[in-house]
Amino acid sequence: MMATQYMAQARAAAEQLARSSLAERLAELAQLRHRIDQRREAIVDQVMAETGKCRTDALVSEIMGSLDYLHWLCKAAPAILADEKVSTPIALMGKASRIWHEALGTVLIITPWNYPFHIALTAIAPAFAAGNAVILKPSEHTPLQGLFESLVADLPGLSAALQVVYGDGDTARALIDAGPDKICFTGSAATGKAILAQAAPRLIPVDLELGGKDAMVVFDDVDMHRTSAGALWGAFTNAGQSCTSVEALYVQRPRYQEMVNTLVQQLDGLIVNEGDAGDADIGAMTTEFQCDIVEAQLEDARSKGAHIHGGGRIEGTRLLRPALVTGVTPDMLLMQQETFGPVLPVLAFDNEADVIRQVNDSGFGLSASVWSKDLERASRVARALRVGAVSINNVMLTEGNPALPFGGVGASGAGRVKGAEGLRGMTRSKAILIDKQHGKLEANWYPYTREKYRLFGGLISGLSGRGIAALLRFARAGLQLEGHAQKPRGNA
Amino acid sequence: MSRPSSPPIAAFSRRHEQALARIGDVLIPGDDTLPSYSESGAAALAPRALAGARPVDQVMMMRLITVVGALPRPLIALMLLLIRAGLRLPGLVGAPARLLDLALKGVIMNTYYCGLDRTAPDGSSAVFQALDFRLQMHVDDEDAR
Amino acid sequence: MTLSRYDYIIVGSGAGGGVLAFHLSRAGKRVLVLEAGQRWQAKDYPDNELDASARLMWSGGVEPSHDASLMLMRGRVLGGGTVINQCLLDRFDSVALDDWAERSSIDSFNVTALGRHYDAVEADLSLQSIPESDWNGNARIYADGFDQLGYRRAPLRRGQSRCDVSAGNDCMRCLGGCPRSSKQSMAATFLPRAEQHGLEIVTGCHVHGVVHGSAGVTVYGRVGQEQVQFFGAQCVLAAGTLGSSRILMNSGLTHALPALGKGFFCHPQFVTFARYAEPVDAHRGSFQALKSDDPRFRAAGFKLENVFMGPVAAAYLLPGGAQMHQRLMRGYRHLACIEVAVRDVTPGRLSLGRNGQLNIRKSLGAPERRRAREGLQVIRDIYRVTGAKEVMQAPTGIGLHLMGGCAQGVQRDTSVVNPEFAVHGMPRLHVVDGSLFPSAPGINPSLTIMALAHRAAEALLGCTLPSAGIARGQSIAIAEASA
Repeated sequence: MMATQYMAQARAAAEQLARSSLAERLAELAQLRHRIDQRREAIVDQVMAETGKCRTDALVSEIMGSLDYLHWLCKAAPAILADEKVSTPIALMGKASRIWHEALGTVLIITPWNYPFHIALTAIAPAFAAGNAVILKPSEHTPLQGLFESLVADLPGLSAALQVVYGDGDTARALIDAGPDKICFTGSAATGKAILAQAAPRLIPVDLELGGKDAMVVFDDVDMHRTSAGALWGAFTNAGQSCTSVEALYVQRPRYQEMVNTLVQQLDGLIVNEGDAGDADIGAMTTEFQCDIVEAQLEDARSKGAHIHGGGRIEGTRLLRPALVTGVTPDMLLMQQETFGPVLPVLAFDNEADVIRQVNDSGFGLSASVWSKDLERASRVARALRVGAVSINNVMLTEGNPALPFGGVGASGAGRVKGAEGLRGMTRSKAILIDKQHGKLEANWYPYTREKYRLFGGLISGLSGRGIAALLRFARAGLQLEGHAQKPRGNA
Repeated sequence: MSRPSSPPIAAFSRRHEQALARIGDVLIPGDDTLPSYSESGAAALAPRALAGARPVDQVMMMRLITVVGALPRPLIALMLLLIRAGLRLPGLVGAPARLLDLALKGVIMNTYYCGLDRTAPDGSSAVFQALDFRLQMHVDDEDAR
Repeated sequence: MTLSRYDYIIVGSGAGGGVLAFHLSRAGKRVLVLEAGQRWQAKDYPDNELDASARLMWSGGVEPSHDASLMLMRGRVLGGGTVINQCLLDRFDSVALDDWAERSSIDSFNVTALGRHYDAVEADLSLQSIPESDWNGNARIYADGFDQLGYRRAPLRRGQSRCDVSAGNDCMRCLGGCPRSSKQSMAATFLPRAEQHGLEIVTGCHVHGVVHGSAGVTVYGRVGQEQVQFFGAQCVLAAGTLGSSRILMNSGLTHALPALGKGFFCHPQFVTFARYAEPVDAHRGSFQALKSDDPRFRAAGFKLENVFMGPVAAAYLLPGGAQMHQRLMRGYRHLACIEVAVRDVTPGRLSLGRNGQLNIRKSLGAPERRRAREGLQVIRDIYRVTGAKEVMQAPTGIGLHLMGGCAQGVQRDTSVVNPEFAVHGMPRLHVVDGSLFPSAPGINPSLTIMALAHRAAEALLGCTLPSAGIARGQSIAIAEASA
């Protein structure tokens, strides 16, 4: 089938969907949630087979995160998508104002290989809830062939609204050319730029969730046991293949060595294996090329004088042992590019200003975490960081709350998924103003007369003035204007 | 970047050694041929004997030696007598006696009868001399592989 | 940086791991053996009991059962139990194997089917029966008693090549490792031959657990203070009953394997000494030369061991207070010793304690007590008819044959390992050691563990191994080539 045919089918589905109610759509999403829950081990197996990730990562991030999101969506969507009443200014007295959140029509979702289930689902679900037809183009590395189709089978709305189109970049380009109403892309910055360029002449809006070089900032007043454990998980969950993985651990100098020593001990105990039963800590890398990138960055760091503890690839596999890197300098690739692998550089900083500058200098701006007993200081630093999300005294946790928006700043992209913003992002707001049928003409309609001009001046003075006198001036000007409005030119 | 740690038995001190020797002398007071436990100097071998034990057992052994070794000699004798009496009690009732026996008698016999004392006039083991015990084994280079 | 991935990682280097390592290496597989103990040059094996316990055995010598009624011993050294045992290599009879077949539903547990594997390992070892000329005083008392009372006895068959007892060598030394490399331990036989085929060995490696994956097994533990991981396409646990069970339990498999740790047996042994007027010199020469071979004993579930032990073990096991003790020990050369070894039927249970320590629950039931009593009565009769002055019974039992815990069988609820030696539900994880035993055979287990390892090698390689004698033939050929 051609891309245009998929798009035509999507448009037809969107028209059908326009006749469905939000309640009907949410009921299908609730059924979908139930199905995911029931089939979770099979989904975990398929995700593991395609990504190589360890079982616990698959269950917690892909399944639990998705179920959490659907639960939130079903509860929150009616309020977020409901027609809104907004206030009408006094000058427009007697009229009513509304905002309607309408479906965009067709949404093209292009997903990456690191969380093939979760990222797809948390885009499909809000798009469908908002009334859109969806075309999902999963990564060719992790297509999850047939999974979403089987999950929505027999759900009349969802099965009609969702099409999964398998293929690589060429497929994505053809689908963009077919003219969707919106593109949601999660992936690398390079691909994001290409998509934006292709969408620009067609005026297709694009949400971009790109990579990060996320920082973890640790002040000297933390509990080391918990903080180091958080760093370890933040850096190595999903084998470091998360856009919000901790890729730079900044530790205030007095605790730096202690942190390094603690991490070394813990890092050596992390169990690496693929296809486990829930007992491996770190699974395999999903793609061969990502292994090469990680190894090249480590080799580059080593050649430039960094000290690397751990690391290494188990021959004949895509399993990488986690690596801790110290002695890092800005000229190393792993401080300039996203690593997207189980590598944790640890750096020292002296004070707040110093660490804020270092973090904001990275160019990326997806998320960060700040660790300190002093919550005031933590909040101060969180505000100063140029990122889309900050977890305080925890790591990668903003993603744990479906009510919070997710998205980056700068090279990390634009647009938000999840939360009310993400759901609204699947809609366009339509402004509505309602007046009644009656015989009266509006004062600002024709004809324009000198007298009306003078009265508008009085009206504006009254509006911008203060106190009871101004209000009275406004009321008098208003009444006089209304009187004048009904008269034809020359009848003043 | 990692720090090596030494086993608990490394803390076995001269005081532990003296305490163990006091207990050992109750079990092996010596006679006209056998040296007493303390005369044999066997207590000094305790860390070597316990080197392969689990760390928790090493800690427990040192505590046990300290506590029992601090008792007056008649009380040590009474305690060892009670342990002996409890050895054949069935099941868990006899377990404390057997465990204490394993711990105390075990380490004392092990250090004393291993033949590592050099207290005989000719510099060999006085204990083995008293037992008239010697094992022979011819090892030539061909065997040593 | 590339980290090795082995075809097979074998945890443990004893009778199971050693034989298996040889056959897999010889078949061209890349094999790594992880051993908790150290590698010793034969001539450097400890020459005293203290160091032998501390440096060649787990937990520094003995491990008590839950109520300390049994003292268990197991080797922690390259070569495992085969370095510190007596290397008595007997085949199992139909009494033992028929029971296994019934419990496991594995038909190939029978004398004929296992015969081919026995043939193979025997051909690769030097086996000798102890001649009457090598008997010491203890053996003569044993033989005399048996003959006077009308019980059948037989010479012991032992794995040894050149003990040269007539030249004055005392084989009791070999309980701390044979310095002549005469005793057919794995360290003297299969392991060096396997190394000639490329086997890699890491010693001093304490394995904590395994993580089974779709493409391989990660084995994790410590070498010294360092945390380590090894990666293999397949992993074989050959760490013995306590070791393999502990590793599986520590790996969180207790729920997945309901039979894990159950069915622990240890052939409880009870030592009885006798003092004679004349020196017996039980410690000299071939200190163990005979075995009981009486069908009545087999039917009654015990056998009598013609053994002795060094001064440390004797002193610990001899009863009595200071005066009696010193008197008996001064007369060490006048002591004789016979053990009754019970074929236990009341299963023990292995479990993990809260702190990760292994709990060994093993009670002596009525059958074991009865069997021990009957055996002890025979021993007393032997001592009586041979003129002993005094008979002393050790207060605690000992267990040297640690078996079961990972029983092999067809049913998942009653066994841990399937007939192809894979842990149920984990095709890349295998067990090949005495923990496979579904019940206590009442016969020394070492040779049968080796035979099972031979069978396991065929199961893992998916082929029938070439006919017997390959290991020795190979080693001789290489020796000639290098000479």
